[in-house]
Amino acid sequence: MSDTLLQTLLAGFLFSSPLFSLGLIPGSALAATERPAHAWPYAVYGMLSVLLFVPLGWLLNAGLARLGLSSVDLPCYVLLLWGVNRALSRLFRPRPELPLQRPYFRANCAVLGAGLLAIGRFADSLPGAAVLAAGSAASFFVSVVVIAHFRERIETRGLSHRLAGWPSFLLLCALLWVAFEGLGSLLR
Amino acid sequence: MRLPSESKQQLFLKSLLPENPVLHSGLGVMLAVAGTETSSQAFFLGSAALALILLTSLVSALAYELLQKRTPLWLLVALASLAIALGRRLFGGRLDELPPMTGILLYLLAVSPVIFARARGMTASTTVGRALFDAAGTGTGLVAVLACLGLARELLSRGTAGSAGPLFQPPAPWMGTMLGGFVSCAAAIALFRLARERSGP
Repeated sequence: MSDTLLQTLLAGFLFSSPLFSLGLIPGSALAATERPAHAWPYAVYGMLSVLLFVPLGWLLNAGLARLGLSSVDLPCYVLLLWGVNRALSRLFRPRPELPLQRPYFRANCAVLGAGLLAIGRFADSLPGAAVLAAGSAASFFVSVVVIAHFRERIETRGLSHRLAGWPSFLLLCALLWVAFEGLGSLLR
Repeated sequence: MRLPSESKQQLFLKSLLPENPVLHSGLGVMLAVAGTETSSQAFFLGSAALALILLTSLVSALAYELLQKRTPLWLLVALASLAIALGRRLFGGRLDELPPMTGILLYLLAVSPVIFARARGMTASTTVGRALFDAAGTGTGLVAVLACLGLARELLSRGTAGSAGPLFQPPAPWMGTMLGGFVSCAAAIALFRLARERSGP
């Protein structure tokens, strides 16, 4: 892998996490991180969604630009996202404890946001967009698993009920942001 | 929870505050965290979300009243994405004045549960008028929370308030980063819970 692609991968991992770098938090993330056992399949699902969506989205974007249809790109992205969800839902069907069939229980905000960011930054390079997305996808996986692990620990050990749920989730995202920004500042 | 006995005003007020989409249900947390860097960004995204909530609720309620059928989610998502694409053509120039992520966040409204939750949850048991009041309350509640968070973050991180120039030396520039988004949103939800406890059942 060339140095530029490696740097892009690291930038995607450290600075383009959909959850804590970009703040693109799906409503489903709260329920998915209640227990680490639920978080793993959700994290894999989100990661695979980003990995699938970005190259296909890049090709779609290039095709629409060639046809002069860039003004209707969003409906096409949404259609593509629906296709990716359908494909992955079939893959995850053997796991009944994860309610992926519910339309809201998907990482759509994070996937579409990470995809649009990668396509926008690397409009003329599919490898660049795919590598940035790979970094984002890995970061999504790590952040979901870490948040689920810590949420279970702090919420079962006497955390005030006012901070349970979304506040604790958001504060853990804040801590991850600080940690990754600190790590990133060493590499900048 | 909405009861058939509740008036339109009660529906509006209930959606506005006690069952606020962000503070009570956590819907639209993505907007509250990533879309409140400045008050103008928050107001722009909140207004777009309000318009989309009203549109999807109106279509959903009309379809139920005329056809006695629930509108499928995919149709509402397609409608919202077309409306956003049209809105981007009309107001695209405004995006240049706002923080860089605003364009992406505008697109993400097409897959945000806060846009479709009322259209899917309310219309199966009510009239167009009641659905619109409920949607208006939800949308206004969202705009209010986003605007308050945006204003607070902008004041603390830049010392400005909308078009009003620097008012004072910014005391907490980090509030302009994503860290500020997480902390302010978490604090708002915790304060909302505290206020509800104090005010009683």
